[in-house]
Amino acid sequence: MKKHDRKVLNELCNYLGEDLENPMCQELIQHVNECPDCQFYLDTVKMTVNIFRETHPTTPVPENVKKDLIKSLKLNKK
Amino acid sequence: METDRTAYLVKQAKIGDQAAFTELVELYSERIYNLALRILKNPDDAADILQETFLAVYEKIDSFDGRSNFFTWLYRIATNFALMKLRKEKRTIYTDQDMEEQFDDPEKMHIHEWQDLPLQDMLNDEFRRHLDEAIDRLPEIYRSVFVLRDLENMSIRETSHILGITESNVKIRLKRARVYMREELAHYMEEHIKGTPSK
Repeated sequence: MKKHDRKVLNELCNYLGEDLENPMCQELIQHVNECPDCQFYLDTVKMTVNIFRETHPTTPVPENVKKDLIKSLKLNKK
Repeated sequence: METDRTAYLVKQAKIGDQAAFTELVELYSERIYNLALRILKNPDDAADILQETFLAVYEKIDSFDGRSNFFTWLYRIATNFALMKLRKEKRTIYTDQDMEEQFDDPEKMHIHEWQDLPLQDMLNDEFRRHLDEAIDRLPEIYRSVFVLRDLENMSIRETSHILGITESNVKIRLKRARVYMREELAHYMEEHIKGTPSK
């Protein structure tokens, strides 16, 4: 990554802990739009999150687990 | 997240309506099971957490005062059980200090040429195993934030309520976890896919 202003880098870094789809800092957006390295970095962080979502889909609760749960709670299943 | 139906079922369950409690279990067991599975990476452990969570809810529902969202309350109980299990049984390779030193300095960011790789073709078992191992190495305080925020789609505010930490802390932990995950993926791409060097 090429040399950046420290302030911009810190803002970029803070942004990585925010909602990635809703950047709030106009100065940061402007910088990222003009800087291929930062754009690339942000894109790959977003891609990482998407890959983890895609590789960890929702799994149905196994039937035996459901039965054990109802039994342990001593509930009568409808 | 909270619906009128849930509010009604909670109210009924508090006065001992078993059918209402059964419906709550049916409504939320899949999400609780998946939350535990994503944190603990083991179906048997996830089944245990599911059972412990609803047993605790069954015993404590009288004390649920409705000030917080039922779903947040439920998630908080499940997350606490999952984290307790993690603390008892597992070790993480990275410490909190490692995370701070390695993933807080923006000038240490590495860029690897992996953005244009055919990711759909790579989503195989080996790749998934690598991702799971990467999550396993993540200290629990980061793992829980990453799972709740990025895999369970909870808001920063909900995540802070569930974990009992400030929103600022959620953001700091989320940033470190995301950067860590990105670096893990980048190294994997570099070593296994193309052997491309960093810029």
